[in-house]
Amino acid sequence: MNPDGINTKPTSPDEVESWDSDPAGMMEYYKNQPYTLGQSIADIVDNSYDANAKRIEVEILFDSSSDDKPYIVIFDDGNGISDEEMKSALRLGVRRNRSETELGVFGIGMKLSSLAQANEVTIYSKKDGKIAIRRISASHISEHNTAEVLKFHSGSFAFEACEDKFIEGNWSTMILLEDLHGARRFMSMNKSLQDSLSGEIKKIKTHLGLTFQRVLEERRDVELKFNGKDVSPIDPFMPWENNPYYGTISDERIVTTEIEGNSVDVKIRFVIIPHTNNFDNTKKCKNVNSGYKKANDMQGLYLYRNSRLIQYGG
Amino acid sequence: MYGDTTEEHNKLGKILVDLPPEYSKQFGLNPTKSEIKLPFEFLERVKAIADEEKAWGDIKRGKKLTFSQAFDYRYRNEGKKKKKLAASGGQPAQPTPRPHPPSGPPQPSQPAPSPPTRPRRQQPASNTVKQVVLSIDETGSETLVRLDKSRDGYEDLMTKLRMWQIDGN
Repeated sequence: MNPDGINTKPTSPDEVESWDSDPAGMMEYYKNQPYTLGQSIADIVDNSYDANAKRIEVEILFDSSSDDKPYIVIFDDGNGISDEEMKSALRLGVRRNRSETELGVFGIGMKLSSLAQANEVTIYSKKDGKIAIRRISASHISEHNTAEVLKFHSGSFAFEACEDKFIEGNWSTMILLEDLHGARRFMSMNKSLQDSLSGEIKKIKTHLGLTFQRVLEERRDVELKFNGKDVSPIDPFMPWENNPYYGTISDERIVTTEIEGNSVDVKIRFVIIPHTNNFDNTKKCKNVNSGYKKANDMQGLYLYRNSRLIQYGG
Repeated sequence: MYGDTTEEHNKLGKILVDLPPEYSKQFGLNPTKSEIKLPFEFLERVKAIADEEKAWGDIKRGKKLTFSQAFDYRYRNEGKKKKKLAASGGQPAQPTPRPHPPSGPPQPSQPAPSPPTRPRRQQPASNTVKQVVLSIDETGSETLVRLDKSRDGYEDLMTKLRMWQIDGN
């Protein structure tokens, strides 16, 4: 019996049966996870922080052979992944002892969020001078209905270009997302893919600035770049609006709550931002609302874990 | 937390929560990190604090309000506050010197600063303020003012005094 009084212990092998899943069917499920492109990128960036990277660079580029083939690449100079470590790194939901300061939690984010955007996800890494490569190919899995990862690259122009950059930049790990099926989420009917993507890029920039604002401010030794520019931290609470009459007002408290028999202190802060008409730095304030959520949806709770913004609004 | 997230009047209120990382799962963080379902008991405690009445800066002249009353009031009533301040020179209006009585003892050359005033609403009703002040002692380089905390207008006056408070005190 488990603590809830549910019997979970079989008494003989006849009482159990393996629970198989259909790889092609599961792949459809992974691909349809409701991640925005910004969320997917942020999840991959989490892994780079957890790998102790000092430089992280995200780029969204177009295959020069075609202007309708965008791809996304994330480089970092962290610990790298060896060939032996690749298997566990790619296992979905891998359980391992994680430091309490890590941004990753369940061992799922990077894989699921990548597949939510791309049919081809290549993990290319260098550790102790040796290169390791794995590719999760939704096309391969769907076509052969097999839960296999590939140990060779796609041979695409994008891979070749990124491999060159990997060497030039002396990076440790590169995550390449190709064949972006997730583009349908931000495509506008009346706009080209390039124009739609350009609008999405602005939102991603804001999303990264909001998500990693405190991380960027606390870990100044880590450089996070998006499309060649430093990601600027964006504080959703607008502390720079400090006029005593109409500026931001904060009240910080500690809430003590009971969790599994332990008394846990949680820091909370109530904030009232200025009325839109009273912004002193209008450009900076409007930037807060230029991501995936607009001003009305930016009210409510802002949940942080290890200084990383997990969820906001509502 | 405050119902419909597209409700225009709520958009100035935000609450930061720092989740203890060791209790992420218990706080309802889902594997995709896209959603958190906070424990009901925790939300109840947050709500209880939000429902406490307190002064929120200068909102409604420092009257005691709950969190939601304060951000709602600011949204509905303070959209022109900056403009009004700008009309008075971009700064809170300078304190108005007390008029000298036609006769009586000579006045000090530097009158003690009085709370800042804002356009149109120059001072709270003078009777109210007078009833809050129990005594004024201007001996030496400091002035000691004794106030009656139980009187109406006490919070109004304190809010204004705090605006004049020197940083770090």
